[in-house]
Amino acid sequence: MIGWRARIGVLLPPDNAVLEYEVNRLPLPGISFHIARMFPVELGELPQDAPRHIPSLKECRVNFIVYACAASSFMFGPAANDELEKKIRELSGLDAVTATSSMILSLKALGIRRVALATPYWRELDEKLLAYFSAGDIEVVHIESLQLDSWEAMNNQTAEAVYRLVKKADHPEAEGILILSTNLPTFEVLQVLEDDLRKPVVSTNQGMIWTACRRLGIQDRISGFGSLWQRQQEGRRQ
Amino acid sequence: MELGERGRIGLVLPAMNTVAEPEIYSILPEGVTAHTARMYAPVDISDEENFVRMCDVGCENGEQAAKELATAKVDVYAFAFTAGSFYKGAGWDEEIARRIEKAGGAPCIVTATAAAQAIKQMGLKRIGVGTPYAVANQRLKGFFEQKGIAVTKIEGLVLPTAVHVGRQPIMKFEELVRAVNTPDAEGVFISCTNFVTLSKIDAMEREIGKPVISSNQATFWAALRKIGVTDKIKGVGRLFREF
Repeated sequence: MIGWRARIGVLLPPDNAVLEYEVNRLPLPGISFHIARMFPVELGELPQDAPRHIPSLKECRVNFIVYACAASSFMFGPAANDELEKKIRELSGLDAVTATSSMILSLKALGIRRVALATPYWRELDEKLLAYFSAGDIEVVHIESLQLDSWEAMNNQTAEAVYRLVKKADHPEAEGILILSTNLPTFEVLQVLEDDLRKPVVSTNQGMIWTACRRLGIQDRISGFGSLWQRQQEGRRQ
Repeated sequence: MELGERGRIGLVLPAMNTVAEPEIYSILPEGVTAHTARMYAPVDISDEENFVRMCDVGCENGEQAAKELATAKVDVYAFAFTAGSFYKGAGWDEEIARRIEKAGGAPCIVTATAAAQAIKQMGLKRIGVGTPYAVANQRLKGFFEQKGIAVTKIEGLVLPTAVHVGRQPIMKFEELVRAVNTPDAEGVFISCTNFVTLSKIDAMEREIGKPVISSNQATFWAALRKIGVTDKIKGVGRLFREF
């Protein structure tokens, strides 16, 4: 049976053209991914559309749900992010995590207290991201952005462009680097970036799927996709 | 190369389907990506009334799914719902394609049409047909006959819900192929995009010495050919190797 260890449901912004390709090339036997596209594309409205898709994902009998949009889960602040996550859990009766929560959990699992951020965003979104971090206990020592002003442009970035962005984002005080957004391709360059920079590099899609797997009790230590995947963690309620 | 630089396929999928997404990613060539939107539909397929209801509700949600996928700039829609495309007979499959194209603004291929096209392009006039269904087999037989394809035998697994279909082991596909491979059949078609088939199509073609076509195989083949990707992909049957 496909998904014989676990099926992961993904609430995805409709324009995203990257996540499905990335998650389907992870060497995770028995894990399958099933997508629901939120609508409309207006960023701030996505959280309100998430509940509409829970019945579809439940029909797939998924075991876990990820809310796969970073921006719309951090832009309203930590309380709204927690609320969104709680709502998805309550409506589905399943464990769930937002992109934003999973990034924080991933940084903490790697013991990173000072981070450099690499984002595709424009200035206003970067400011909201910095505000989100300022309310927590991970310090942002540097931020570097592509300053792209359309989602379409973000979906058309190459892994090479991400590599260059992260090299620029690195900072001597940063213990690790976080790459934002579920529509930036990162899997191809996570390992080479870690090797070249000699520090951990986390990306939204990597952190989100790692978190989902560990919560499900899936402990595979896959290689080639960053040191986060070498970390095993206790599972949570099923 | 950018992801999806050669083309993006938009899968319009019944919500309960757990097979098509992993199966398409197991064969996609470099430079092509696939993106999914789900059509909510009830899952009971145990009798005629419920089967039709699943198809009706699913099809009604097709245009919304196409609109969701349109924002990902897909180059072709694959309406990957066999039952939803054959249940009203030949002509309905083309009507669905028109509706999706209008809602989504890009060409659409439909599973039932793609299956008939694949069978004809391979020069097969008489086929054995296997399905997971309990009640829709006469509708599917009628659809193929309207398209000029004779059905030598049709047999279903009689599963109660579409969720059960997604849980079948690959062995069930092998058993169905053997069960409907009559001596006068020139090939075999196995129906339903929520039924695993891809990993064993080559093996079954070797075993019976005839072409084997499945819903997902025909759907992915038609979608790739529609966007001009003509790679002869190995390991998923004669259809992909030669056509």
